[in-house]
Amino acid sequence: MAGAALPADDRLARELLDGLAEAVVTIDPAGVVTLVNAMAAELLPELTPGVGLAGCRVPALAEAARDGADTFETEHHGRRLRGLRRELAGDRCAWYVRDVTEEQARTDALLAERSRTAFLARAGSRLGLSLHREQTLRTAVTLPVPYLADVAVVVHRPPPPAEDEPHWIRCADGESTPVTGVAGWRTAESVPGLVEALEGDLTEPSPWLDAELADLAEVLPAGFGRPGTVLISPMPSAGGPAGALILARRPDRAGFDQREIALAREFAGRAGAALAAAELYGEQTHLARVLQNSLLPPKLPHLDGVTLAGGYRAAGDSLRIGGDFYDLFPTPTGGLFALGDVCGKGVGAAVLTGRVRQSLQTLRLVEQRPRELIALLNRALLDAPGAAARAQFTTLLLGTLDRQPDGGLLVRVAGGGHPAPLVIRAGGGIDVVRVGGMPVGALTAARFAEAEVRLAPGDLLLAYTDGVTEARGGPTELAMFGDDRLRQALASGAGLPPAALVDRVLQLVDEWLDGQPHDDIAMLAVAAS
Amino acid sequence: MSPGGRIGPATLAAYLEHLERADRAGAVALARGLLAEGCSVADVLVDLVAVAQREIGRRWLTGSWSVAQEHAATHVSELVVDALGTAVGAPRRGHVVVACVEGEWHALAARIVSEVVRAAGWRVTFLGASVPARHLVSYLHQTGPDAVLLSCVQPNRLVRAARMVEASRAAGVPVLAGGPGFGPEGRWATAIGAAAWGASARDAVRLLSGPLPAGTHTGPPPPPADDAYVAVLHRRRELVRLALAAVDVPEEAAEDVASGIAHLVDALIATARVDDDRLLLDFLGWQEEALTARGGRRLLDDVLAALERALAEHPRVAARLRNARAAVATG
Repeated sequence: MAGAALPADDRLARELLDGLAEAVVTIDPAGVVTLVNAMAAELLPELTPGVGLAGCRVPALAEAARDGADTFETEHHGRRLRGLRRELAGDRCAWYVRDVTEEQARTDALLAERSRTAFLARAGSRLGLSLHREQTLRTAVTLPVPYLADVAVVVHRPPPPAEDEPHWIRCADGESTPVTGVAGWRTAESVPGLVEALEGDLTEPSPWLDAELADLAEVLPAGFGRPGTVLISPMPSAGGPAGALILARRPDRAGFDQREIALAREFAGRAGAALAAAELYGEQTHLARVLQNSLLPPKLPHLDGVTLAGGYRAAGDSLRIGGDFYDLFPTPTGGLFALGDVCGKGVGAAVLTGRVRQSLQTLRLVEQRPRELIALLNRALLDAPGAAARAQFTTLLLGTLDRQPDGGLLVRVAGGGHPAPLVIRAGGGIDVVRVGGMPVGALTAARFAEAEVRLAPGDLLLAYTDGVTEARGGPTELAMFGDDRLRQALASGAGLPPAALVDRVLQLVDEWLDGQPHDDIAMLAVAAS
Repeated sequence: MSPGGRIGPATLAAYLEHLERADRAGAVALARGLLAEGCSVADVLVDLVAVAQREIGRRWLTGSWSVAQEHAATHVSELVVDALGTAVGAPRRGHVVVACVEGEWHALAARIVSEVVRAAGWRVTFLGASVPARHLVSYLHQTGPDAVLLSCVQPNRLVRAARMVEASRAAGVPVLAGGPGFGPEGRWATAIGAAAWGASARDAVRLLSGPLPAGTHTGPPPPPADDAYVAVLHRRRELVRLALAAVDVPEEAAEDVASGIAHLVDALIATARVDDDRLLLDFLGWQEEALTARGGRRLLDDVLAALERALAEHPRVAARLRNARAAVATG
């Protein structure tokens, strides 16, 4: 046995015990301390031989002794102690107590660091989601609560055309959604450092220890009371300050330590960058949207005695503008319609589309006969500066609708190299209105043609662009939708109102495409009603 | 039934009669009359127009109405929804966007939801039938709405719905799902990342007015439970081709059968996405009726067998197909 080799030498045993980094305390069967080593005397000076453990002045240990527990952990004389009980022979026992102060501090620091990293990672991914300013602001005030503060407020200056006045948005622990308001410069000035942060003069977060409720009452929830500590962080971005982040804690919560201030600065920086990106995107989309609105097909007007419907799908471009278009202008006897296809795709085609529509809108004031109007348009387009160099042309159908005494419509259509419109008779027959003509905007000597057709009540005229019939898809993914499928679809939909028929064709083409890319598609359906 | 019982079977029958005759003026007048009697916009849209629409669908399915009749009747109901929409006051709550999943053209239910939500005080933008995910994303970034209401009627569109939910979450906007395409009681809605599901327009109003059920509703969606999902999704077109090659159909029916097979493959992919065989089985139950006329069960079994062979390397997906074949065989 290993134990048998030990010398029965008290002095050696004592030296070995005193040399340990752990405190050792032995207890006799009556619960009285019999022996303490040197470390025990240092960490637990209250324990000396003869002291009863259950009544000793180390509360956690006394409690463990009373409860018969095998471990305890406590804060004692500024040290973190962790104790473990072992049974010894003869009903005695020993407590081994370690000083874990440094170990605990390292663990706490690691956990705190981890939670900070997790917070920033979450902030980074959430702030990266939206490109919309309001939503980014909502995210920026929602994220720090409750982790960093009980209330988070972002004070920001909305971009023009809004008046240059500080606005605020707040998220408070206990409020379900962010609240917004206008602060005004006077309120902003009463908060130390806020104006500086908004102007970009303040570069570091500054804690404000003696905040007066009156100064912040406007942005704090009713009943919040006087805040404990307040931290104001600038939200810098590449394009200048994006705003200021105010973090407020209740009085019963500890103030911001250095690491938390650094974290707030880091967070405010990320939020500032996200806000600036959203602002930039907002400006760009505003511009794009203004253009888009002028280029998208119009909302069709109401014409007495005529039912109209349009259908439009732009080729894959998130602006949804392209080279196909339709338009409709009311006239005293009915209306004037146009449907066309500018060669090319995307924004380039859309710009020319805009020019064609603008020109038509003006020229129709001086000329209403379709064939003459199309010739005039041709001259106007060729006359535009740089028209020859662009060599872009447009296929077009231009027609007048005239109400007839019998409730029908007389349609006169002039053509410029465009697919022939179809008439779906109430009974299900389909007539092709052969128009002909040459594309517009290509040749000065272009010749245009005109055709005439009568629509009885229940008949429907459909003008469409080749995006419909040339859509490629189906079982082979390569076959065109084609004239036959279009006519079949129209024949089975005879008698439907224009809107329902246009939707039906769009749906069939969409199913045919089955998610494959397509060209611009436009349709205009007219019926006498 | 609405409070006071003004919208009862007799009113419904009268409304359906207007639809049958495609009588726009009559249908609008009937709806306006109900408003004048004190019904709310929600009452008329939910208890009359939506109920009538289900009846229209039933008549079309059982063949008592033609496609043209169904379209014409739906169009009349759309005009009624339009007419009632103008009776709603200025918005006093947040902004929501209503969209139909890409490929879905039955927009009436979504329009009813739009108007009922609008009547509850929200600013509503209805993006229309068959909204491409790309357009939705661009719209969300431009306008930053509070929520997207996404309608999906057929479960085989669930994969596209999942893509739209993913896009909305990525733009930081939570999605409320609606429609039978999300499964019985909407059981597949949360699997693809929607915040919640509602069965009706009134559910949509209720979900919007309260806080959303716990969970994170933006950021990356929950991952698919079946890891073969991505592989099958990528082989979609190839699978349709293989299955089509394995069946013997007359040329004039080839296009219809091909589109039926594409829907079936979509349903299979959706099944893998939500990890619930019920989706595929429900879809087949419904598809079988449509296919019976064109070769029926035999054809369906050939298609399923061809897919099972092609997907042998994905045991879980192959097992789903075996299950489906067994279910089809026993009817």
